[in-house]
Amino acid sequence: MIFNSFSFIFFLILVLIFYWNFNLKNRLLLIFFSSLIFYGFWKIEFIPVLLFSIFIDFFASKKIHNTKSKKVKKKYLILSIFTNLSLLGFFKYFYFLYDNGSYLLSLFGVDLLPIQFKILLPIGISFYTFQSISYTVDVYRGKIKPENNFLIFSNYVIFFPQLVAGPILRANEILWQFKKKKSFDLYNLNSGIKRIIFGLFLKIVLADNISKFVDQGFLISPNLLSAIDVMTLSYLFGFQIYFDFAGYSHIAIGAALTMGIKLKENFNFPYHSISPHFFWKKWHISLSSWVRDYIYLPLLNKKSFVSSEGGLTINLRISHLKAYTILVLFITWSLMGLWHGASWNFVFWGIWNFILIFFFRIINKFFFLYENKISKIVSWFIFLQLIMISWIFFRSESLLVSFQMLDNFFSINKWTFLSLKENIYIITALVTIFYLMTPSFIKIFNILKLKSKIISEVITISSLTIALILILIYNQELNQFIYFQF
Amino acid sequence: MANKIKAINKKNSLIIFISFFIAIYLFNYFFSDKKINFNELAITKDTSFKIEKIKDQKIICTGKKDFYDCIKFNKKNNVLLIGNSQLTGINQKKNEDFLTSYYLFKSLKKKDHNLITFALPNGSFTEFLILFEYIISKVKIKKLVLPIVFDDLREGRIRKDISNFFVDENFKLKFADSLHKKKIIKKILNEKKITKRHDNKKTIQEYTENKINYFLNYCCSHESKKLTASTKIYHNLYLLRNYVFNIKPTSKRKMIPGFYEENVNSLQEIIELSKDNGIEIYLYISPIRNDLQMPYVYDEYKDFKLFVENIAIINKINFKNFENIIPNNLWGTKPGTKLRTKNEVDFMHFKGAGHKILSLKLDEYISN
Repeated sequence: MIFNSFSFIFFLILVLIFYWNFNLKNRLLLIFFSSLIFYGFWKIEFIPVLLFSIFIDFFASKKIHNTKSKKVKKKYLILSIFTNLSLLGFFKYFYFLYDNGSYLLSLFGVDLLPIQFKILLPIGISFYTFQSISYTVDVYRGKIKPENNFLIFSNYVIFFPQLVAGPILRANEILWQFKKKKSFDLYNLNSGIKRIIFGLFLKIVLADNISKFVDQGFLISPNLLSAIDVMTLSYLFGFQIYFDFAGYSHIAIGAALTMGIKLKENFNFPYHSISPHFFWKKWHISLSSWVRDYIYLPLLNKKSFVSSEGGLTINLRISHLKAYTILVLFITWSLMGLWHGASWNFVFWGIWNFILIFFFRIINKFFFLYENKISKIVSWFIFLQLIMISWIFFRSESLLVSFQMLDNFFSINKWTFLSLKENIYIITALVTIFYLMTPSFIKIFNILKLKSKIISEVITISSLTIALILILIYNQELNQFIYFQF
Repeated sequence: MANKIKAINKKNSLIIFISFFIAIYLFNYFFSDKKINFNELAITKDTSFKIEKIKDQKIICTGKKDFYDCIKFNKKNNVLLIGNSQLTGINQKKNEDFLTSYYLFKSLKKKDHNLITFALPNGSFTEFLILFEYIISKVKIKKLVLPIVFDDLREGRIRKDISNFFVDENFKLKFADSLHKKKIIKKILNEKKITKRHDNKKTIQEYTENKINYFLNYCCSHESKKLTASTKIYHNLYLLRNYVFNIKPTSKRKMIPGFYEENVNSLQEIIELSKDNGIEIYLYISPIRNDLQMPYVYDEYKDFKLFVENIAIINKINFKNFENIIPNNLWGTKPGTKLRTKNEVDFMHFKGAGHKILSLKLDEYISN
């Protein structure tokens, strides 16, 4: 089910009515079945895949916990990881592996036949498999005890607000919330509704409207674009994907909150970051933290965390410029890219981020970037351009097109003309300015709130009203969230 | 303390409730008037938008929704005219004024020809191509008349009423016979982004959403209010943009390389398609006001005219330049396109007498 649809609004209202009138056991059953309905709204045939993954992880983790033999523990851990990655590999990476494999074989004169069947990607598979893996690994590491109640464990994986696009939850942050019968709290309901409205505003009003310009721009041949056009399009897409995904996260967090369940934040004004170090603490925080705890730190042989907060780049007492550390960073970011999609575009997006992190680490080592205000501003400005450019790999239709677009930056002629419709530049400038000023607006609002209750209430009502009207106007027929494809 | 928190929470709930109430009330209050179509924004009060009818026969249509109104009267010798709002707008319209297509329809009828006109305000050649290919898949066309307007080469949007032709899967498959056309389909699919199952069955989500939307349209005209609202917002933003950046009808509009290339490719496809189907094609450069400085960069416009002429020579097709046929006094004005401006010159639409002149020229052109 898509959040930005009337079906979801009615569905959520219905679930809430039953939820707050049920006892704990029935609430758990309600979450389980409503999550399956939520998932089945897209394609009912993939529910068994989801349940199979849950089933394996539930029993594997119990076996891991109940046995003392390290060998057996490892065997069940491998079983769980293998099952999840096999599902992911088959549904998400089969074509990619097959295409690249047949290309390599063709170099040796072996020609494989083209694939005759179609594989559909089960929505949310990248998210729920990662969530399941984190659970089994945490049990293996002895950081959490396995859950004995199958229903509670299932709900941890399939809880509908976060099932298809995260935030990727950690068991220790959520399982206990399912076990406790919470009494109805008006504060949570109000906050939840506000978050949902804000999320819908980001998705429907901003992301979907920006996407029309982005789609138009990225269809133009790269050789007809100027360097400024490429920069404009990367900014626009950078904002589109941010509003889209942050909007989704707000709705997910809000919907969970209406049920009294608190999920961790996934975004926090990432484009205000002065370096990749800070950016990855503010962008898709739950994934970034997952990669930190289950790929990056284990590869560095460092102790992992059990939290979906903090992001990928953390301060370690190691030399960031050692060859092995650099290699680990490279592997981590290539995998991070590959997680987003089965294509070389995403791998290069990951590598671009690896280069950014590495570059900023060197600069910081020699120039102490964050020492004073001016260097912070310079660092922020440079980083903003570089992170926006990274989205070209994410959005363009092929790696070749990405490089052709980037090539425009290196020709002086390409800096002398504009080739997009005038409105695109105006909108990009407006969105950038408003986005950058938002924290200041929030600060002013908080000051006003302390000074005059009436003014703050009028502002709240006005902004909610405007947001709701715009949502009603711009709500399109089933416009998907970008991150659903991952 | 607990009571205080309770009171604050209740107040917050009230705030949310009030916001919902005001939003729904304002939405219904401001946007419940007559349906305004986004595509008709080019046509304003002083530029009357007319869809001509002779007896019961509609002679100008705009897309998929009224497609068969124009097609059903087709005869043996069908002449197809596809263009932008110049074909449907009359400045400072009087009662006795009619559109080019009206006069042309009558005169061609005497010669046993049936004129079918499709006019897409702010149309692009990509839209014209889709429309043209769909029309010839349904009706036998003898002659195609195609006005070439520089402005149309700056357009890149494909309106829903045109992209909806691709709902017909057979047409979609047949259409995708060249790289350029495949790109067009990709563009349309990109813009729609609808959750479609690959096996084309409806998802449960689509089914329920359709039902809810049907109910909302039935009870509260939700779709029409949405369209009116988004058009009003767009129009006001457009006025505001023109005011802030001091954009006037005389402001120079530069060529947009990306859209220019796409439209030129579409034009080329139209020509190829006409040749393949034995359709005689008649290109003409549309009339433009010439008593004022043109709103285009002089060199770009000159190159454009030369390009169209060359394309006609290379493809051995008919070509005329009608840019100067409408006298200065027959060009009118339109309401201001920026805030606080009353009337502005109009470079695209002319008065009723201008339509008569154009129709005579076209009649002469096609008949010879």
